Amino acid sequence: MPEKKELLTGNDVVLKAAVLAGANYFAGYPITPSTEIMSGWAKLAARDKTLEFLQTEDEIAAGMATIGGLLAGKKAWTVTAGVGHVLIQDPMVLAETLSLPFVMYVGQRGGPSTGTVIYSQQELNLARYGGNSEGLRVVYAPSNIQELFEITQKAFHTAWRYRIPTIILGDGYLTKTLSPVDTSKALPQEKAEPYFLNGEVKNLRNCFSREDELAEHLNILFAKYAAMSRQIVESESYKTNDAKVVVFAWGTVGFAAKVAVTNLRKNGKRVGLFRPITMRPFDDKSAIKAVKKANKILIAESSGGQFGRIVRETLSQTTKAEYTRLYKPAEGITPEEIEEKLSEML
Amino acid sequence: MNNQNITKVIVAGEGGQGVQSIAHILTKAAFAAGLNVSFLPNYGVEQRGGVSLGFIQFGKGIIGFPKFSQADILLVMRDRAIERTKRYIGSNTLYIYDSDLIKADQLSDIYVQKLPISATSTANQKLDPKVFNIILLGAIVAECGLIKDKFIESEIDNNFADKYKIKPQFKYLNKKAFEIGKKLTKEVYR
Repeated sequence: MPEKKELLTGNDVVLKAAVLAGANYFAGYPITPSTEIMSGWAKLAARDKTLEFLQTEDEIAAGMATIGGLLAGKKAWTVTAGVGHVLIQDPMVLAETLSLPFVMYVGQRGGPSTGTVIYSQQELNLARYGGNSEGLRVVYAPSNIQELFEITQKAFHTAWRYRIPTIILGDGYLTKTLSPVDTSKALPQEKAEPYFLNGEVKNLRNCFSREDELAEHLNILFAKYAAMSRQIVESESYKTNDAKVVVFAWGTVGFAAKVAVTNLRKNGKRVGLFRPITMRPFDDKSAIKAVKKANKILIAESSGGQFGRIVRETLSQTTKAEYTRLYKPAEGITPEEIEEKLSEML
Repeated sequence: MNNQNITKVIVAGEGGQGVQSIAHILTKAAFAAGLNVSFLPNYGVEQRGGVSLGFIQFGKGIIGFPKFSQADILLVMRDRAIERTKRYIGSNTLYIYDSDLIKADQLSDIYVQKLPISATSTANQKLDPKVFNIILLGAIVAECGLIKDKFIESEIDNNFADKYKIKPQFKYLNKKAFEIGKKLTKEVYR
């Protein structure tokens, strides 16, 4: 198909991608900066009888209704943000222990608590390990609006292929920005099937009588997760082969860092970028490889160190490079700021 | 990825002043004119009263990232947005403001080229108080000189199409406000 660029917000893009991926059931509760995805779905569902919509009383109910949809064989999904993301972690861990293809877009906003309404990178811990989770879920982090379109589709594929809860972790910079996007390319998808057929008896358990019973259940899930990780783990190493300074950044900040690295490379500066695309599982091998020639590492993120802790744990005892932190909790980081910081470090 | 062929505009004011509306119009008109565009809104939890910002970029070059550190044109529509936007001023920033709502001495510590536009009083006296923001949009369009009037006019009409159904006179008022805004920029002594 030829490239077709439309002027869209990221919220429009998430909605388009979900429909293209075959989503046909949505339960949710509105919250900025992601509300327009739900209201957009409601408008579509009013016209198209194959799409179902339920606005619930809160995000716990939204997640539970999404699970109901999945069990009935619907490609169910939901969208939330901020404090709604906190509540929905309860149904999320239910989906985790039942290995359900629960797809959720999260638009991070400032925190703790109500915080601000547009942007932050402070929901990373929550997305990776929220609730009493063991991290048996996939977390994708798109860095720009075009990638958001592809990754949202990919999330549905991963969720149904491996039967695993999958989060697309964005923010309001991604989904409130209005810019041209090509939305012509559809990615392949798996078919949805009902978990229960008429008359069939099946016991999906989230409650166990004995410790060893639960441990056995979890060990199976961990083994499945490890096998899946090798198939789906993703990252971008940009100009890292000979880089003396490597910036680690993800999501929106990852894109700002790419702009900064591109500009510095034009002047022959040996800088590079490592950007995880799956925040869980994390691409440890590529991260370690990306800093082979580096003597300095910059960690840039819009949080007080949620990402930095993952980076330092991943790289511990594999590099002697010195760390510099550009932590701006709840604030945006521009390419100019990263460029300036990298220049100081060179 | 960042380059000189991109104009960076920040529109700043109070929630309810139409900051997001004029940012939308500008972005859509630039897109219709065949330029690369990006518009990132930023505001607080308030429906009214908080500071509302729009980061807009357009031009023939490639746009790398939706937010930026320095604006080429900064429009400040209300005094409470003065402090919030100081960090986006660079030595070449053109500072456009509504001189009816902001007095020159409130900007005494801002050392860049300024363009005072008496949007509120002009709208009140000649048109309708509501269209003061379209006067300011006219000032931005005249200063950046990249987007033909027909694109802006058509996006103004698209944006307010629902309103025109109830108050058809606003089509005329908006058109006039846009023309006056462009004209006022030429009358300012620099």
